[in-house]
Amino acid sequence: MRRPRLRQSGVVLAALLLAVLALAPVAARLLGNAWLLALATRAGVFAIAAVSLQFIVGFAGLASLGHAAFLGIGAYALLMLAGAGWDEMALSLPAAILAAAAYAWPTGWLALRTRGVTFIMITLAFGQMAFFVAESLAVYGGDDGMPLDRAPPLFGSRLLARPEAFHALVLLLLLALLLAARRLGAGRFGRALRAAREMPGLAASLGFDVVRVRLIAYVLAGGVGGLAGWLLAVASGFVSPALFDWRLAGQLLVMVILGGVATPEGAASGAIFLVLVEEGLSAADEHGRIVLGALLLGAALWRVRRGRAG
Amino acid sequence: MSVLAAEGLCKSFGALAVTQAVSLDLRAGEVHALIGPNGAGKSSLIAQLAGTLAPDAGRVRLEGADITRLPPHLRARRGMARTFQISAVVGGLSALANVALAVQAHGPRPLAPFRRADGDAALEGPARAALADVGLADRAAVPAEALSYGERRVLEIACALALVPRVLLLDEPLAGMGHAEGRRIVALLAGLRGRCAMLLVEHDMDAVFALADRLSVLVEGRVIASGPPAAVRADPAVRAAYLGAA
Repeated sequence: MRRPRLRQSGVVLAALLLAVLALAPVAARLLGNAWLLALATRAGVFAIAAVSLQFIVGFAGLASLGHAAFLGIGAYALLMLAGAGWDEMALSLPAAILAAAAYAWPTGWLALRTRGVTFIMITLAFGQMAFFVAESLAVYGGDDGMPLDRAPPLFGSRLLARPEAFHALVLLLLLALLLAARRLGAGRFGRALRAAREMPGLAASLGFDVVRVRLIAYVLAGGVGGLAGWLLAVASGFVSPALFDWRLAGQLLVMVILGGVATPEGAASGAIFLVLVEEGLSAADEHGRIVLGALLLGAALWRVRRGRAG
Repeated sequence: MSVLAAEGLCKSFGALAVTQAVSLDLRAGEVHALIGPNGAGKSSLIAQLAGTLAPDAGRVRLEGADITRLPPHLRARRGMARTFQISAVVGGLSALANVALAVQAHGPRPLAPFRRADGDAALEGPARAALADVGLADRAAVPAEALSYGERRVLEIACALALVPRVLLLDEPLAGMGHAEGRRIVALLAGLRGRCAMLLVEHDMDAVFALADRLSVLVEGRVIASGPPAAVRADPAVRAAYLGAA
């Protein structure tokens, strides 16, 4: 009987953190500190990335170290389209999502034939492959990357150049994603995915194509990862191969695990919390990272004590 | 015509031949028991019939069609259901949701993304019927992990039945059960007789002789006898190899 209450508290926590992000533009204006808004936007973008990874880790039960590749592909899709003058959001955003999903399909098809540590290593390898390709693109700044000339137009308007408007877009997308992910988790597909995770042999014997079910989840996660990459590129105004880095993938994994792998809102909370605390601490004090390390360790131990489900 | 047939199945792991030219058939509506001492190759044979293990040679036919290379999920879609030697249910889901999962897999739009699975009448109607069939109707809302071991095994049979199978492979359905629980399963299976053909792998000889229309005896990867229970029981080779030792 503990578990439902835990889930409720997870939703409440995520709602609180979202409210904090939603108030950031007000706080930034009152305090005259634009950095606060940028930080909140970044937290929202990482929450989207973490929710997409939670799809693979939590729902499908597969830990991936290659998730940064989807962010990178989404960001580079925007950079490349911008180079051709096609950075219009209505065009470049779907393109970023499709490009990342298109990379997820064949790589996932191969990787999903394995499980556990092998799966981690294969996703890492596919991530690094994309990283080296991005590094070799001299036209797009090679390993330095390149700045974006401008925020992408939204149906021709300059709306997204305003930090508040972009922030609102990120929060709306995050909210929509969370609702969709919860709905998906409670639907037929979500149930099939759960059976494939907990009892793959049984799922197959009932008639579910286990690899296909997992692949759909992987491709969906990849596409949403591409969305997060597009947003991250706009948020930072810069695209570089660092977006493909496995360390970023590892960070995303930490966010998901910190917030609780079982639910999308947990992953979002973990991401928001980690971005805010990390940036806040490193801004406040040069020893901030030590404090962060201690916090992470504490959170991990607390999770172990509470059990995986929380 | 037989519903399910194994034709000359062979399987070796290195020098160990676990299945040696095994032929076996399952007729419509019958209960065919497969018995044999530990290590006789019963589990390997079931795995080859269910599609989780590829035979080195030979064929498996389901209603005449060659399904030897078909993966398990496609066999399920063609009317094969199975239960596992080790209990297999989704523990966190209710008994009803477990059966609904089987109905979902078997029915249209099995992977519909946004339709809520909980409370979906298209899934839960047939699922409730299957639970009622096995006598678990009053336990529908209980999480599978909270059911007793015996109830969980019954739930697995309900899941298999929800697929409306032509063939049901039962891999030691009485394993690990007390006497009373075992009799409950035997009564349940007897009541299901005729709904589908059943291949019953079981060590409990009382259950086997109570249920089987025919009996095949597997020893060291070979079928040494096959036929009506009385004939098999009288077979000298069987007595020597198996029943005599019991």
